[in-house]
Amino acid sequence: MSNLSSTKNTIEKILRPLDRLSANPNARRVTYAVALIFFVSMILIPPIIGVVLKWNLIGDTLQNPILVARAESAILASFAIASIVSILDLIAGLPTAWFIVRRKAKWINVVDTLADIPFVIPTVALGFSILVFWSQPQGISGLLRIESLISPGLGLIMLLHFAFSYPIIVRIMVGELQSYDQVYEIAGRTLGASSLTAARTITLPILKPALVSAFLLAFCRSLSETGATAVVAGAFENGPIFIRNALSSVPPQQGPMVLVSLVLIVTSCAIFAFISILGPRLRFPVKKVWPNFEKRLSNPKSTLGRDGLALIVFAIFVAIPSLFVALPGIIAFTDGTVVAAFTGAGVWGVYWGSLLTSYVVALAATLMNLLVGFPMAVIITRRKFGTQVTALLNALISIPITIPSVALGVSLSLFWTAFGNLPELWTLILVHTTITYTYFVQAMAAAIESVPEELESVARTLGAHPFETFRKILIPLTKYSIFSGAIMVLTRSVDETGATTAVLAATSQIKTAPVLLVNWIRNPASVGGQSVVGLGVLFLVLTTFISLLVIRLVLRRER
Amino acid sequence: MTTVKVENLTKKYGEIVALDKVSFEIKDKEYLAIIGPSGCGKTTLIKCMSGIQSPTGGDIYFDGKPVKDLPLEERGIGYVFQEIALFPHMNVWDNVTYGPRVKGWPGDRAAKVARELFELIRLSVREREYPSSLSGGARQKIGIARALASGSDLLFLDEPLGSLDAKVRTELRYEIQNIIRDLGLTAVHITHDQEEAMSVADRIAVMKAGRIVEIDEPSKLYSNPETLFVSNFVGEANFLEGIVTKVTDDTCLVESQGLSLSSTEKSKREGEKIVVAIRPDFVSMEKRVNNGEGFAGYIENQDFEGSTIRYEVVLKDHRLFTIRLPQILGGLAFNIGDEVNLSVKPEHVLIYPYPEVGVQKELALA
Repeated sequence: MSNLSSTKNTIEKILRPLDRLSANPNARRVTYAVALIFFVSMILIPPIIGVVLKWNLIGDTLQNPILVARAESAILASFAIASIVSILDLIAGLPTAWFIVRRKAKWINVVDTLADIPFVIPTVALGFSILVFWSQPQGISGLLRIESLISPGLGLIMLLHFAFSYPIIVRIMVGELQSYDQVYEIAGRTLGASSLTAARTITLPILKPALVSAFLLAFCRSLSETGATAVVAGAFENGPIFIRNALSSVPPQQGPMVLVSLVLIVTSCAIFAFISILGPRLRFPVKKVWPNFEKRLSNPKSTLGRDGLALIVFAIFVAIPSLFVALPGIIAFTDGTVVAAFTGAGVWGVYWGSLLTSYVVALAATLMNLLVGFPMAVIITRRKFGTQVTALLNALISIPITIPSVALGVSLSLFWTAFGNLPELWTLILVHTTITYTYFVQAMAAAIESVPEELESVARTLGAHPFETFRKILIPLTKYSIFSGAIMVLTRSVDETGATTAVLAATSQIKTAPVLLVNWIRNPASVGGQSVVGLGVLFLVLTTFISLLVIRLVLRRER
Repeated sequence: MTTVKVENLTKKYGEIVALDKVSFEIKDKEYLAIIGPSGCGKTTLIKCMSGIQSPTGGDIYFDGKPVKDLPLEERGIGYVFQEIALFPHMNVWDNVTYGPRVKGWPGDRAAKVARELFELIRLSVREREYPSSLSGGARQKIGIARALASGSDLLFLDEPLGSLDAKVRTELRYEIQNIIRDLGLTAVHITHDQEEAMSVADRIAVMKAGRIVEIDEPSKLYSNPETLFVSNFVGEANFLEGIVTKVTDDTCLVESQGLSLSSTEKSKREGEKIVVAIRPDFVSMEKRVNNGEGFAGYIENQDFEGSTIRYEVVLKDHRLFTIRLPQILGGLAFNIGDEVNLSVKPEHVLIYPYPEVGVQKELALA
């Protein structure tokens, strides 16, 4: 006890000069400037500059019409899949979110929890799960006694993207509907609007910004996803798979890779900006009202039918296929594979090494985010550089999640190779920092926003220096959010596949668990069959699950 | 024509009883205000009557027809919200014509009604303006126009002035009253502002703990409340505990710690323990010359209230007595420290049975 208190005193003594230094406005400016410089130089510029540097490689590719046609069709497929899937997700997810928020029964909590399944499962594992469910004899195909209900390819990619984007829509809309002031809808109903009319003409237009951002996030997620898509793509190519294939060919086809990456980066940024600006101005849904028809659709029977349909779609296309990941893993427990796994025999030595690499990279990226992301969150929430710069920064920090991760990985890899000649592991850590930076800053900004600025002012009026206020007021009040934000970054980093594939050369000795698993899933025979693959996936799911469980426990403690 | 009848209306939230068998009737074209302390159930009552909430039990009739099981949108009511709740994504015109539109009225009919309402509420804003650019008062005027546009004869007003400034509140309450009278509507108005209720309503219902404790005309409710709770909740009163010493044909004499009071209340019996309530406005005060008549005391405090002055007088037995005098009637003629005599006419001495739960608990608002 006395040791602890003396350590605390020592830390206090070390920090006291920093407290005093923070009273100097110039010192504060320098701190924020460092965070800003890090953001611009390490997060914002490298993904954009990387591919631009290799601009000259595109010329040769453009001379090859077959390659150009392939690239074109892959890019178009990416945008078409992302658009269709996001719209379908919106159509299917919105009634589910409505149902979760508005129906008052305890069992709805189960639906609420199940809707998060695709979030909990790493995307590679989700891809594997969906592959097994729709395509392989252990899944629905076996039940129907056919070889493969849906073979790997476009259809399966659509089903996969639908499943992993679905919780994004549901989660955002549940949050929005919960915080939405229902008085507007009630006002509409007192004026004679049926519940459907009130929802269509009042609630949805008011929630339009949330609908647009839910659509955008689902769209970006679909555009970006690589690892799971590689698992279910078969011979089909979308943008990320094209890049992946170009990377894994020997020697890697840098020209086509740069071309597609550049097009994906520019187009996705343009679409993101276009929808962000024009989305809120969209006039939807239609203003006209069909009173009798909408009244019929608002009656209890129709409502029950709508809810039932939403739940059936959720169960068949999201919940059950996502949960199928457990099946091959369970088989592995009965055929002795699990023993081999724990002894590290055969492929398992490489597997455990890759899992360790995944966590080392993730921990380093998390630490980087904590050091440089937190000051950035303070800059944004406390508007340290004025309102206009804050708005600009807010838009700029979204760029890393807007760009497809594999394209981001290609660009970053080219940038760091050109400028730093860094070892692969360091490049990987920087890439993961870039990819997770947006999530961390946004989570921290939300946490800091929830702490009234007046509390900090009170501490200052009582004589605390700015840094002292920061560590004694802001940090304690946001410590649980910081911790859960850090775990979220860790989990996202561990699951990352697309950008990691782009950084690690096909011949690289370094492998992360998701990258290794994609190879295993695509060629199960090389590692000893489906049960080995299933168990490898299950271990990855379990580690992610434990991380998320920690978040839940921490958040519960906070409440 | 619209009458309202509420019978044994009950609303429970688990173990908590928000409405406890509430029954009352509202006549056609009557303006009823409902007041009561926070948490008494007045908002729950109006929400159950309008259909925003479902009651646990009891019945509601509009024009003799049961409406309890009718969905909110089919009750044909107008509802004005405390939050105003104009649709933020619609302009003024679209807000006001929303009701007619969702009811499928032809466009020209909806436009005609909207124009008439704009004239009625004397709206000085542009129809294409959005709610965010309007003042609170203008927004609530639009809210009223929107509620009236569907042509309902029954209007529910849920603390309609609660979110407005004092000045706007006073102006708008008379405008609302005029609109309701001009259109011949039946209205139910929830408010926590007694003055507002007194000035606009034909009758006032006072609620406490999920029940209506008294319902009467404003003047009667103020000058002669039936219950001790209402005498305290509506307006201000001085309370003295005492015993009835003598009952005659015309008066009733009361003794309260050395003070003798006479009341016109005759239903009490000699020796009964009672509580006397005296409104500060009904007390006369004069500077003490020699012994004089009434209760003696001195002025300990005085507060300027605008048109009236409120005095706190310490009686000989150290009890505090509140008096309110209109400025115009010499309210400013007294100073702190003045020795004074207080007197009350017998018709202003209200007598209530001593409550079983004790005076403080009976008067408690929460």
